[in-house]
Amino acid sequence: MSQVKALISVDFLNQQAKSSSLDLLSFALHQNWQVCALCLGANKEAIETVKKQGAQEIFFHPDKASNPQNLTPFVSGFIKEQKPNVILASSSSKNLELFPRVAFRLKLPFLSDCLDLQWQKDSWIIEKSFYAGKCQARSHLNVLPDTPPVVLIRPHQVGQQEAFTNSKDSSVTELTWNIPESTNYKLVRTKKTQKSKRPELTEAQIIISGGRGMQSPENFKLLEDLANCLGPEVSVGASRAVTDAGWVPHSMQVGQTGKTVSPQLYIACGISGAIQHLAGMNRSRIIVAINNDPSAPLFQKSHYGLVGDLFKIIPCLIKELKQQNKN
Amino acid sequence: MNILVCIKQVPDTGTRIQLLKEGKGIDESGIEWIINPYDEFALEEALRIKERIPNTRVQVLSLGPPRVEKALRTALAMGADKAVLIETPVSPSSSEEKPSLLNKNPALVAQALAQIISSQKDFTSPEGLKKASFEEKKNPPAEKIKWDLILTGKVGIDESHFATGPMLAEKLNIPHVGFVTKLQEKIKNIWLCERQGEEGIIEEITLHLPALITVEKGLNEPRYPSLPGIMKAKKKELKKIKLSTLDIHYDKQMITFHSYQLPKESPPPRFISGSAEEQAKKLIHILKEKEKLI
Ligand SMILES: Cc1cc2nc3c(=O)[nH]c(=O)nc-3n(C[C@H](O)[C@H](O)[C@H](O)COP(=O)(O)OP(=O)(O)OC[C@H]3O[C@@H](n4cnc5c(N)ncnc54)[C@H](O)[C@@H]3O)c2cc1C
Repeated sequence: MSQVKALISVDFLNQQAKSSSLDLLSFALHQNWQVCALCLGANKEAIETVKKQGAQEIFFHPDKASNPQNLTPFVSGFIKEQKPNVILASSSSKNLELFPRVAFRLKLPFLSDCLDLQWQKDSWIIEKSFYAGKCQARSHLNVLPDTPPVVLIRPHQVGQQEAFTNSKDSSVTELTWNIPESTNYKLVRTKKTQKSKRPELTEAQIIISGGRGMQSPENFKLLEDLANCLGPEVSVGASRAVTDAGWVPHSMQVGQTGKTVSPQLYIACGISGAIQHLAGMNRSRIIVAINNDPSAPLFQKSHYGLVGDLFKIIPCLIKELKQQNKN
Repeated sequence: MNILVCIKQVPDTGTRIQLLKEGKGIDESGIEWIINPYDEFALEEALRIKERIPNTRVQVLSLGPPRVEKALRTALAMGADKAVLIETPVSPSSSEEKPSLLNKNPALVAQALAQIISSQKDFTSPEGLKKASFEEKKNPPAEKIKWDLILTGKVGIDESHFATGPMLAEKLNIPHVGFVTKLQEKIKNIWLCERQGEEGIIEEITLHLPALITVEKGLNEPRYPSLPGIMKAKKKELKKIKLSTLDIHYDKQMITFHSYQLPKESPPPRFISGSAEEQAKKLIHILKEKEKLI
């Protein structure tokens, strides 16, 4: 086969391409693949970043049709037209609703929560996570004509190189899909549960997580303060002990029955390190544990361990960071 | 109303995963099996609906080897009315490699489940099922489905595909909402779902039945089977249908895995000592200067 053609579905939040999607674009471009970016729910301004990232072809549709059932035929038709060798998107909840339907409709192999993807001698080698990270395995897919795999990749697993500077201009096309109004499915409204503007846990570069050692819901304010000192790319997570106690929303839970995360930095405060929790965060690049029990299992999975009272250590961290931010 | 709950049996979350020789797969010996926690939320929700809405029947459907019967008995003990198991052979023998593919291929599972779901006949005649070929039944019109609501978990915590629910909905040509944290009947056949989106956004969606819903944590707290429930469950119907009697298309959707690996052993941690203040200073210095993370 000549050059690989990758169709990448880009996610947008408030008309900004999400960083996980930009990672996928730069990953594909650095492999020297031809990149066709599908931008759903994006307006003309929003696709500027996609252009800058270097995608050769951009297709956008301003409508974010909410019903995956209605969107499926359009996306399927688009794939048939474009004839890519692979379809890539990040493992976001929206993509996890749409792409299984699309893959099933077109009878394409579907893989989600993937960690890596390589093109070798006309076949795809795909690394996928199982048991929320307790193990991983590899699949070899010999590519048949018109059978590109649909691969959803966990955020921040590939890419993160610099933007790819494309010498040529991207071609931009507005899709003229006439997605019908659903009669059986209606998005009534959206509400925002958290006031802060933090990234989704799975997207965050830095995560500060709190466990039962935080002692009360009020004390999570301490973690919020620490997150604020570290910048906008920081999210706050929690162990199940804490979400089940109702201290924080379930959406903050990290672990085998919560979010699987792999940030650059994971700081666990007052979390013992149960196997279910470890499954969800063991692929973080640097793990820091703060716990007053030196035998807490999490220390064994950490890069740096601070044995001590979190109520003493975290305020010192905040003070020190504030000091440094001032200078 | 008729509610169908699709459940999967998975290794207990406390399981320490062990691999077979040469990373050929996962060693299943010694594993404790449980109902997939997200499917348990789905089942609990179905049972709560049954308690609220008269004349509601809840059936559970699963696919897997004979050990899955235990999961279905638990579901019956929790309060489901009937259970159906699409039974796969105990261990994939050399002559019968295909069933082992089912695990890694949600598209095949969706096909099998759909075949049971859209068969109008009673389940006693698998031959009848086989005759009405799978291809002919492609996208049956919605009104042919006798189920009002199909519930399942957003993901199986073992394989992490997040796909069986949406694929099943696509096969049945019905709408679906995923990641649901709240579910409520507005008027007959119109339900209000809250869907957990990203960045803390919750979407409210009205959905006309028949439809499929995949559920997220936070929807409810599953009950434990009661003693009388366990006794009753023994008398409830648990129907088994051999997978080989169904018409499944093993085609190009097929995926196999090899080279299983456990996460890399982490090097021993570096402990940072001193007073709280010293620990904080040292940590920030390391994260800044050495790791270049902040
Ligand atoms: C089906 C199932 C699924 C599960 N899924 C998940 C999951 O997805 N995610 C998850 O996290 N858990 C999950 N669990 C729960 C898991 O087994 C543990 O119970 C849970 O992770 C424990 O949370 P914790 O570490 O916050 O609490 P604990 O285990 O109670 O640990 C609290 C820690 O805080 C420390 N501490 C206390 N005070 C202080 C202080 N002042 N300063 C510093 N340290 C302090 C203690 O030394 C202790 O190590 C699941 C369990 C089951 C059964």
